[in-house]
Parts: sequence; structure tokens; C-alpha cells
Amino acid sequence: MKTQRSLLFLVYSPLSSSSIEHSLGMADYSYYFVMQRFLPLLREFGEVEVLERVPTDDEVALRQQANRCVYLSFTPPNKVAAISRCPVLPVFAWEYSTLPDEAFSSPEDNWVRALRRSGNAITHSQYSLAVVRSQLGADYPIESIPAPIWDSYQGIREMRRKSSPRGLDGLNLDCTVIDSNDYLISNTAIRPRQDMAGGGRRLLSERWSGEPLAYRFAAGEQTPTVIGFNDAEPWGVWSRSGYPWVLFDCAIDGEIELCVRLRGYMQNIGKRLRLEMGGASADLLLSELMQTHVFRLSIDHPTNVLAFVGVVERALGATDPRDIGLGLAEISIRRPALAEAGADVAEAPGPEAVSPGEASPEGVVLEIDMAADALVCAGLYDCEPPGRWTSSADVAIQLPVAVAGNFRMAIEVFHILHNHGRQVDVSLGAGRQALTLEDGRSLYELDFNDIPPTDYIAINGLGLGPGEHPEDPRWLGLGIARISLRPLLPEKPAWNDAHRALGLLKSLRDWPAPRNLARRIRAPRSVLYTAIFNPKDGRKNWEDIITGFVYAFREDADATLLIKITYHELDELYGDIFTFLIQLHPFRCRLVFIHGYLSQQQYEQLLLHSHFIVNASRGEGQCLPLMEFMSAGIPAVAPCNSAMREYITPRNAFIVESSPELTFWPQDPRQVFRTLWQRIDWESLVGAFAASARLYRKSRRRYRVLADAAAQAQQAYCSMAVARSRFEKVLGQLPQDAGQ
Amino acid sequence: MKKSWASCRRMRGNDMIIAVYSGTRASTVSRDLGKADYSYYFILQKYLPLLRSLGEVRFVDNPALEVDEIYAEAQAAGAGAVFLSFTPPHNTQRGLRCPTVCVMAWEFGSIPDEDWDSDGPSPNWVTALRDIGNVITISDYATRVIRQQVGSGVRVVTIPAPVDAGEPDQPAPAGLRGATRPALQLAATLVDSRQCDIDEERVTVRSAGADGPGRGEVPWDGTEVNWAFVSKGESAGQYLVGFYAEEDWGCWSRTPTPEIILPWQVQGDFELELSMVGYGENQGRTIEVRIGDCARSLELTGEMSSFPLRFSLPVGASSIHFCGLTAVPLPGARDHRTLGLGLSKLALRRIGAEATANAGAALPAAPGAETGGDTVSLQLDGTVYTSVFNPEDGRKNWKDIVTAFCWAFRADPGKTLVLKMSHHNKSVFMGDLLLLFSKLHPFSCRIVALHGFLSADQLRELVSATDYYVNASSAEGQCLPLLEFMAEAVPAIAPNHTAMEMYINEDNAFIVRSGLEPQAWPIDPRRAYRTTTQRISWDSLRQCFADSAALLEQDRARYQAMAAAAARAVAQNFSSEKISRDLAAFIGSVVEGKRR
Repeated sequence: MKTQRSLLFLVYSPLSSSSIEHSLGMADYSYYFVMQRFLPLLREFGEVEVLERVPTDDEVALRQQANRCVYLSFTPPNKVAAISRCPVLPVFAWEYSTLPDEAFSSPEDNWVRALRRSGNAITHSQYSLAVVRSQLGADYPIESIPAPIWDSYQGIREMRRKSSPRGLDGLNLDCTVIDSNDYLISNTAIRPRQDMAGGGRRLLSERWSGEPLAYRFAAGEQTPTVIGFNDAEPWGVWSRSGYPWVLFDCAIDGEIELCVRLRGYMQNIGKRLRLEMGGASADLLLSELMQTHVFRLSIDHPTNVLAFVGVVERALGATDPRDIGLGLAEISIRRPALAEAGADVAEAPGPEAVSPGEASPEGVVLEIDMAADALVCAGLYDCEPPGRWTSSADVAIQLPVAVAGNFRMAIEVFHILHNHGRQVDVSLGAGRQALTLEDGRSLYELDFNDIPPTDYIAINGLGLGPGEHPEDPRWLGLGIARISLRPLLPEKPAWNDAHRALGLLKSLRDWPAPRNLARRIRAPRSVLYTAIFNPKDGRKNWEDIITGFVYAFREDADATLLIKITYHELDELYGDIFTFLIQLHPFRCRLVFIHGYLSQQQYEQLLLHSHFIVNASRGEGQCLPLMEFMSAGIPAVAPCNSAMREYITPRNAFIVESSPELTFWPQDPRQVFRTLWQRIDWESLVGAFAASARLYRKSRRRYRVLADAAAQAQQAYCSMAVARSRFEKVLGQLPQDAGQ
Repeated sequence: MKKSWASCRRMRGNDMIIAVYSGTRASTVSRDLGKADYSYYFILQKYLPLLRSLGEVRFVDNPALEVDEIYAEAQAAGAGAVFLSFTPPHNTQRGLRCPTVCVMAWEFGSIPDEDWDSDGPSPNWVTALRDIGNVITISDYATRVIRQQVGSGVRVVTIPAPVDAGEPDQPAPAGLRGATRPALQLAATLVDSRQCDIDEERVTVRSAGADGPGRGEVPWDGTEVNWAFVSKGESAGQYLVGFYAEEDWGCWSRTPTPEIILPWQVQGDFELELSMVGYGENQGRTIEVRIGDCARSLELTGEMSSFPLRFSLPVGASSIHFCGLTAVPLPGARDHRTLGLGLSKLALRRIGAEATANAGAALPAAPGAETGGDTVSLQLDGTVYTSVFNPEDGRKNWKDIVTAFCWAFRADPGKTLVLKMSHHNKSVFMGDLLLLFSKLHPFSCRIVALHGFLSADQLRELVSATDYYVNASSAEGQCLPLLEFMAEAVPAIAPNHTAMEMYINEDNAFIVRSGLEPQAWPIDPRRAYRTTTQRISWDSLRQCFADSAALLEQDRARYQAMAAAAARAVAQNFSSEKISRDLAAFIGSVVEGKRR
């Protein structure tokens, strides 16, 4: 006797919402996203239970008592659990010309066998449907149901119709951003640009909230991205020589207190190291031991980069074969006002919280008593009653606090010994003065102007020899009693403001003349191409996309390619990204790589701002990003192969030519040639880039026609209505009493 | 004084001295085969007979010292002189008084027009050519590219290397005769897919040729073997299957089951000593080294170490298999190579009393070994496609040729692809081919690889055994082998880009479609993307194979028309007569231009 039981869909995909953020780009990760897109469809037909793990027959039987179950496995067919108690529907994507039909490491490798066993299947394109039927028979029960996403882009479609996409203008992204415009690039090297003043540049990263940032660079710690460093160790990380830098996930500006803990290595010990952040800089001296340095910086131009400049020399003769420059242990950044106000941020605001340190440094004299003060220094003997003797030609003294601006340095010596008449160099950070030591003179004064933040004094070129007392075996140089730094009032106090005003005037002059302006409003030049993929997936062919874009727009500063990387380990891709930038240099167009899980709202921003979505794949099972963007009314630059054949047409896309090429199934470790994918015609990709920009810039009307056609094509491909009717058919064909 | 006088007498009237220079000399060409710049030597060789009819040819070793002396000598004798430098522009001597012509090959979308740090002379070819003032290229494509960049002040002319048809008694190509072919006698190493046991995992080479004892059947003579797998090493006939090209220290394995194929069989008690290093996850991993039924285990480490392994084989075997590796890509590396183990050396020695020097001395040398004088016999049948190339030259796309051929004729034993490979070290490239056999398995069509320097007669035999010549290059400076085959009325399968645009057309070839792709100048160590080359369509190549076979079977008249058109295209554009005229005119104008 048959009762009318409701349908229960048991749904499984190998990843879950909790694991997906860290699993981007891993095997089968896209099945999770497809499953998410199918849930609303399934809910129209019955109840849905998303399983965290593969079910057993017993678990299914338990649910069968109350409901009629259907098991949907969002996995490759070979990973479908053997369930006999209810109908099983593998839901899978495929983009090669043949299904694996042999066992290369285990019998499960054979998809033909697996599909025969399940007896039903859902795939996402007519292309893969035809492939399945060619191998399993023309009557094999399989339906093509692309992930039904079209309907959910209604809102964005309308917004895009109302206001045109603005490209990068107004786009801010809360994730790691590598923007070619932020780098000084040559054909052999790359380093972050710090002269952000020119051209009204705007950073794509989100602004720093002001919450204190504190990072330890020991192995296993969560750190910002470091470039030009070796692998992390338990204490921190060694940089390589050259231009190492740290990339923060936010853009930092304004008054900050920067605290770094680092040390030098071999040749770099005793060398000046400059820290650069967005046009501001600070100088420190690298020491042999790990030291903490604290600087106050005023960053005018927001930056997400802290660069270490001056560690150029590779250490020679080291037993460690690695290229090592400096060792970095910690970085922290906070707003100075909050710092002095104490730990509790909530109490911080208010003018009364301004600390003495915030006040102008006038009158605050920094004094170092060489006879008594404990110092971090090099090239000096320990304290003695009159002061300290120098023990080397080069002396370095770390100041207890960092200083910046104009100072009069007073050096009081108690003995000149081997330095009579000698000219030495005295440095206060980046400032350097020559000083001639004279017999009988004990006080020397030197003025330093416009010194960027620094925390050290160095004296170089000192003489050295035996002491005057035979019982003292030491070699001595100069006896220093006291050093003081007295702030001087700047000669032109308004200099900074004047400089800024000049800068503003300059940018005003750079404004386009009215005639140009009008033309620009009529015919916008800026065009934004977006591509979303996992670069490690060889099918995606990012080499062609990136090189093709640059060859099309080498001289065009208004063209941008934004690549959203969906692979969990960005670290593994820096080499590739920077190699692209280096080998493609020189180019005026802009390459922006973004990495990180974007919120729904941020993702929508991308959809609202993009002009074209780009794909140059050797094959696609359906391609969610392309479907999403086109559903939102964004025309494509894409090939017309595999699943894309169903929705890419000359009416909605600039077609990238491609033709079949022999390859192996991606899961076949033997890599034997058994199937075909597509070889992209790079020249046509360049042509498609150029033609699409031309069309967008020339005719907004024709762009709109393309955009509308893109949305329409997706409506026919992946609307809920299409999915509904096809899924109904699938359910109708399922055996009614499977496993009963 | 006396000498000048003598020269003067020799060079009366229109006499002229032609000083010539190329980096490669006859004495080194065999060694330099396939290396950079060797093509310049071949252009010179092809020009020589023509130059000798124009004047007195003098080879120089040091252009900076010798050329202007020759020039002064010619002037004193009232004769003309010209210096032809068969070198890339940056290596062409500049600042000479003697009018200088740079004779060069080029096949990319632009020539280097900037400077970068280099040990030698400035790599800016545009500046160099403007200084030199006279350029002979060997293709219209190169002439067009260069003219566009150097401007009007430089004389640029296309004079390809001459290619003449052979003697009239040369037998017509097999396709024209429709007759069975005589067996070819070649002084070369052969790998023949028909003589291999192939499955998806590995290949065993049964025999080198159709006749006589093949490689792998001849026992090792017991002489101690010491091989270094380095880029400059000499091959003793062993093949590395599943490895990358040899580097200066050794070579990395690429597949999880790499293999070394020996040129003979090993049997009995012997010691195999391997110097190896593990990569990534393979460090600390226990792997197996297997010869025949006998396996030995060892643990790879992160440092190059020597592993002496003793084997005792009751039955002979001719390959060494490595099992248990994982092929992992270099994290973050640009080329994403999969690496397993690094192999630098192999030693093989007998154990025990019989390990005397003369053990097996009476046995014949393995036919696969590079014995030079020995010939092997090759009997071809059915439809024969031939391609001649240097496998290290990445432009040749020889793997596309093999895979497209195989996919077109997978089930057809009546189709043969002959690959004549020229390179100084064949072990990795032959190994690559054997690996392809595995990956293409199963297939019934036949693939034969020849390695060696064929004599003119042997080459002629090969030409007459060929129905179609195949080229799938991404760029060609001229492509002499293709022209030589076409001159003998062999139609082609080839793209019609770069130099081939001059002679490949619908009348004489099945045209492989292609489009641009980005490229760095080959001489640019920065590998900066500055120019373009061509990416061929694999599917179009496969289609050309299918169509050309169909034509031969179904429309012999059309095939014959294509063959005739091929010979005609070469005769019209590349005959010695025409090239000689062009050379005389251009050299004359260079010499006259200087005098005026």
C-alpha cells in the first residue's frame, strides 16, 4: 500500500560552509558553490537536508520511513556513495570530449561504470550531456541543469541598467590587492612604489580602521603578506637581499606609530635601513641583535606597503646558503593618540586624551649621559666615570626615542686621544655632517635639518690606538662624555603647508581642459575587465589572459584587468604574478590582482563596476563567474567552447577562437592522451580585448545591446524556470520505489 | 709588397674579394649541430658555391683584425672587397672600412631594439644594423620586419639560401611512383614504435632496426659504464624516459615512474651505482629501483648521494625503472614543473671474477650505440610523412606533430611518421618520444625516429621514400629541410607564416592554421615579452594529416599536381641561378655604393 510521502532531498558536497573559505581552489571546491545554487530549486520540490558527510544506507532508510528520499551527490560520479535505498543523482560538471572509461588506479576511476551504476545523473551543459550519451547510450537518463542563478541577479541587472558601470572609479575592496600601478617595475626587478604623490592615485584597498595592528612573523603566525623573504622560522623571518616588503590588507595613512622588531645579518649589520610607507620614511641602524624601533610617521598617501630599503647587498661567505638581508620578528601599527590614552580604546576619544608626546617637541631636549645611561649601541666600551670610550672606527647609538625634524646636536668629549685633527662623519639618521676633532676642544655642535624620523646617531671614521695607561690593554679612540639633541624651530615653519598647496595647484593644472572634459563625459575611456579563476587550474589559461590584455592595451592607461584569484594560498602565486609584471614591462595599462573571500556586498560591487567579464578557458563545465556576470548584464570576452557554447554568441560577447587539442583526463596520474580540450587562439583574444574596448568607448548604446543580450542568454541557460522544468522531468523519470 | 702584387694580378677587372665569417666552422659543425647559431653556418655553406663564382672567397677567423687588411689589399689591387658576416647583428663586426653585410635569419615579429645588461656587445639590433648598413635576410618576412624598424637608411634585401633539385635521375617520391620502397640504409640510431613493447606505464625497446639483433637484445659486454647525465654529456645510447632536459648538474625526473633505457641487456651479477637527490616530498621517501624482476629499495634525501645497488638477474633486462616517486610541482615556481628525483650519474660494473676487461669483447657493439659507420636498415611502407628537426629547438612543436599524427591515424597501420632528429645529445629527446608512445598508447600507426647525421645519399633516399613533409613550427627563418623535400616534389603539411609565406600555399601544401602568441626575443636573458611568434592549431594539423592521406588515396592526380607545384615553387624562388643573380646584384651595389 502506497502513502503519499513528501520528498526529502539528501544533499552532499565534499566541502561545507565552514571549510570553503580556506579551501578555495582545492579539488572539487566548485561543487560546493554549485550545490548552494541548487538549494532554492530543490526547496521548491520538497524538503532539503544538507549532509555534512556521505550518508549510509541505514541513515537513508531511517529517513525513508517518513519521506521519499532522493540523494543528490554534488561530487564527481566516481565519488558518489553507494546508496541502494533511494534514487541517487550525481550532479557533476564535465568539459572534456570523453568521460574516463578505464580504471587507472582503482575501478572507481571509470566514470562510465559509475554513471551506469547510479542510473541517473544531472550535469550542467548540453555539451557534457552529449559526451555522456555518446558513451552511455542515447537513452541514458541524464538532464542538463545549469546552476539556476539568473533570477537572483535581477536587482543588479536593474541597477546596471539605471547607472552605467564606473570601472575602478569608486570601487573599494576589502581584500589583498596587488595593483601594477603600485609598483616600480623593470624587466629585472620590481618594488613597491612609494612616491604616491603623482596623478591623484587612489588605492583599491579598504582604509585601515585605526584598530591597532600587531603581527609576529614567527612560523605559523597569521601575518600580512611578505615579499622578498625566506620561509618563516620559530623566531621570525629572514629577508632576502634586494627590496623586501610587507603587504597589508588595508590602506594605512595619517599619523601612525610604527613599531618594528628586527636585526641585521652579516654585511648589513651596522648599515642604515630605511623603512618606507606611502612617502613617509624612517631610518634605523641594523644591529647584530634583535632590536625594537618605534617611529612616529605621518603618511600623506594611503599605502598598504611597508618597504625595507637599503638591504641591497647579498651576504658573502655565510655558511647559510640562503640569501639573507635582515631578520624581521614583529611589526605593530597604531594611532599615537590611542596609544598614549591607554589600552582601553573606548575611552580614547576627546581632545584631553592628547598626550605630551603629541605636543610639539620644542623644549624637549634629549640627553645621553655616556657615563651612566644604559644604551643600545655598537663600537663603544662600557660606562666609565667620565663617559665611554669608542672601541671601533664606527660607532652607533640607538636613541631611547625616535626623533624627527631640526636639531642641534651637541657632543661633549673628555679625551680626543687618537683623533686629533681627524675629520669624522656624524649621522643623525639620514642626516650626515662632517666634523673635525681638535685638540683641546671638548664641545662640538652640529645642526641637522629636516631629519626624517630616526632613532640613531652614528659616528664613522674614528681613529683607534693604544691607551695612555700601560695597564689598560684596550685600544681606544675617542672618549665621549655626553650627547644631546635640542630641537630647533624650523626656519620656514610653513614650508610643509606651502609644499602641499603647490601640490594641489599642480593637480589642478592637471585637470583636463573643459573641451576635453566634455568629451570625456560623452565618451568614457576607462574600461574594466574582470576575470575570476583559480590560476592553478591549468584550464583557466591565465598566461593568455594576462599577456593578451597587455599586448592589446600596452599604451592604454585607461584599461584595467582585475583578476580575482580563487586559490587559498596567494603566497604560491606571488612568483608568477611578479614575473608577469616584470616580463611584460613596460605597459601603461593596469593589472590588478585581488585575493580573499569577498562578502556578498563586495562581490556585487565588482558586478556593478565591471565592463566586461573575461574567460579564456580550455573548457568549462558551466563557469559560475561567467554566468553570474552575464546574468547581471555584463558582456563577455570568452571562447565559444564546451559549456560556453550554449550561451556565448557574437550578440553578447567578443568571441575568443579556440580549437581542439589532445590532452589527458585531469585526474589520470598516467597522463595518457585520451580526450580533447581546447587550444586558445591568443591572437583572437588580443583582438577581442581591443574590439570590446573600442565598442564600449564608441557606442554606449551598442554596449547596452550586448549587455542585454548577455542577460537574455543566461536567462535561457540558467533561469529558475529552465531549471524547474528540467528538474521536474528528472523527478518524473526517477524509479518510484527504488530500494523499497 | 710582393704578395699584394700577386693578388693584384689575380684580381684584375671586376675581380672581388669576398671575406666571409661565421661563428661555427666545418670542424665544429657536427658538435654544434642543433645549437644556437648553427643555422648561420648552413646559410654560409649554401651560399659558398655561388660566392665563389662572384669572386675570391676568404674565410676569416677574426673579423676585427683580418677584414680591413683584406680590404686594403683589394684596394691596392684596384679590386672590390666586401665582408659577409654570417652572424646575428650584435655579433657582426662594426666600424670596418670594408663594406659589411650582415647575413642573418629572423622569424619573430620584431627585432631587438633596446639595450640590457649583457656580457657581450650591445644587443640592440636596430642600432647595429643602422651601423652596418647592409643586411641580407633569408626571408621576405624578416626583410619586412627589419625594414619597418630600421628605417630607410639601411639596405635590406631577401636572398634565401639556394635550394636546388637533385639530379634528374633522382627517383620521384614514392607517392608519385606508387611503388614499394627499397629498404633505406642509414647510419643512424633508430627508435621504431613497431619495435617497442608499449603500454600506458612504460615502453620497452625491443630492437633498433628491422634487421639483425636489436638494441636491448645485445648483452652488455661487461665494460664498466660511467655516465653523467649532464647537458654537455655525450650519449652512449641510453634513453631517459620521463625526465626533463639535462642541466649542468644532472636532470630532474618528471613523471612518477621514470625509466632509463639501456642500449643493451644486463644479466647476472652486477652493481648499479646511481647518484640521486630527492625533491620535496620525495626526500625521506623509500623508492624502488627495478631491473627486470629484481628490485632494490633506497631512501632519497635532500642531498645528492650515491646509491650502490647490487643486482642478480637470472633473465636479461634492458631498462631501469623507478617506482614509488611522487611528482610534485615546485611551489610558487613559474613553470610549475613536477619534480621527483634528480639524477646525476650512473655507473654499472660487474661483480666477481668475470669482471675482466675483455668479458664479452667478442660480442658485437650495440647497433644503437653511436658507432657512426654502422648502418641500420629501415623498410618503410604505406603513406610516409617525414619531418626533420632539432628537438631542442622549441619552435618546432614536434610533440604536436607526433600527437596529431597519432590521433589522425590511431587505428591505421598503413601510416608512418619518420622523425629525423638532429641534436648532439639524444638521450632525453628519444626518451621524451618513448614517453609519448606510452601516453598515446594504443595506436597502430608507426612512428620512427632517426638520430644521426645522414649523408647526402642517405638523405636523398629518405626524401624519395617520403609522401609528405611535415612542419608545425611556430616560426621559421627559412626551413631548409622543408625546401629540400619540396624541391624533390614532396608536397608539404605546413603553416604559411614567417619564412614559409614565400613558398607554402594551397597548391603545394596542406596549410596548418596558426595565430600569433606572445614571445620574448631569444637572445634576451630577461625573457621580456616584446615580440610575437605563432601558435599553431593542433586540430588543424590533425585535419591536414587526415586530408593529405585521403588525397593520396583518392585523388592521385591532385597529389601529383601538388608535388609538381612544390618543386616549381622551390625552383622559381630558390634556384642557385636566381639566388646567384640576386647575390651578384646586391653585393655589386654594396661595393659600388662604398666606392661612390
